[in-house]
Amino acid sequence: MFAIPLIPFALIAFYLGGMTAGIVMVLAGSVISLSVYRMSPELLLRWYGARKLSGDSYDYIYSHLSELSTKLNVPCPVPCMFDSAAPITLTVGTDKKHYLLVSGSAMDMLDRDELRSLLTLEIAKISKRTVAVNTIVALFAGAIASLSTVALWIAMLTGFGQENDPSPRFISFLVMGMVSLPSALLVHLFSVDSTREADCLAAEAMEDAGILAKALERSGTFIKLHVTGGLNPGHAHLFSVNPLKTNTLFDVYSSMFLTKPAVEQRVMYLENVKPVSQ
Amino acid sequence: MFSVITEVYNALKQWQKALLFSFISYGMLLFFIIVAITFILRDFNFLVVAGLTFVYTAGLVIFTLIARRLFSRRLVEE
Repeated sequence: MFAIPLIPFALIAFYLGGMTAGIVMVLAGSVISLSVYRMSPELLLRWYGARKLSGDSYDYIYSHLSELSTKLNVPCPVPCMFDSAAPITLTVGTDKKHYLLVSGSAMDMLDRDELRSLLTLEIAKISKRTVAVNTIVALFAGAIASLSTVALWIAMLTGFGQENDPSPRFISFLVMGMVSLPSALLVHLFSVDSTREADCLAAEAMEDAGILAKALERSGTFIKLHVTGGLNPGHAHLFSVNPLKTNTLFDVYSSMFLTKPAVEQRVMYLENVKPVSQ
Repeated sequence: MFSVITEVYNALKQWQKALLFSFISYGMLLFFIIVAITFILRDFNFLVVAGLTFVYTAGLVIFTLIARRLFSRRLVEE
């Protein structure tokens, strides 16, 4: 899918340099596309500074993931942890290998059952086969959106002031205005939202869907009420709950990235789901 | 006048405000492009600047309208 933008370049190369140049361009484009596809999960892991969870300390996570992935017939993901004040989880990966990232805040705040329910939700996402596409979209959309941070740093380093001074913030706001539109369009055009289907599947796979509803509600409320730090809006479609806020004028661009249903709706749905055994 | 502007602004949804600010940001980029072209040509060429402004603004309006259509289809409003 992401090789499609390379077609015009291949045609231009064919027009200017003949058949050989066209074939070289097609081959180069294919290699680049394949490399991006393979490397995108690792790049996102590095982006978040994720580290693999040790099997000894977190054996309950490993056993739960192993049991559930066998049940839903999906490859078992590698559990990782990253530092964030927001209690969120996300899954990145290709079609064959997946990494399940849990934030440190989620580990601290949620009890074991709630954490297991969020892990179930992530496994349900894997079984819907939307993770690979969403990972590549997140990489590109996130890279575009992060240009505003680059602009902020350039403004600070060229003497416009400190991080909270008006000038660098205004420059960052303007640049965010330019980059958020293509970034959000990329998310809207190419990402696949399987939240409802994953919620439904996770509820079916669990004994009590109410625990997942409670976990989502707690995470959503925590994010709303606390300062959870800036997460890249281009990655918002990956997370279990929406981590973006649109309270202030400087956060207004985040509203272009909201593709997930509201937590309240999801909780309402999950609370009404009856277990399969009943 | 200001009360009308405030009323219209407050009536906009969050994503519509974001789209409006994006439009203004791209408009400011046009200003810097015009300044750069004037410096390169060492003179203010009205025809070049008017042509560029027309093409740029038309492209921007079309782009914003497409974005608006896409957003109104899929975006979740808070």
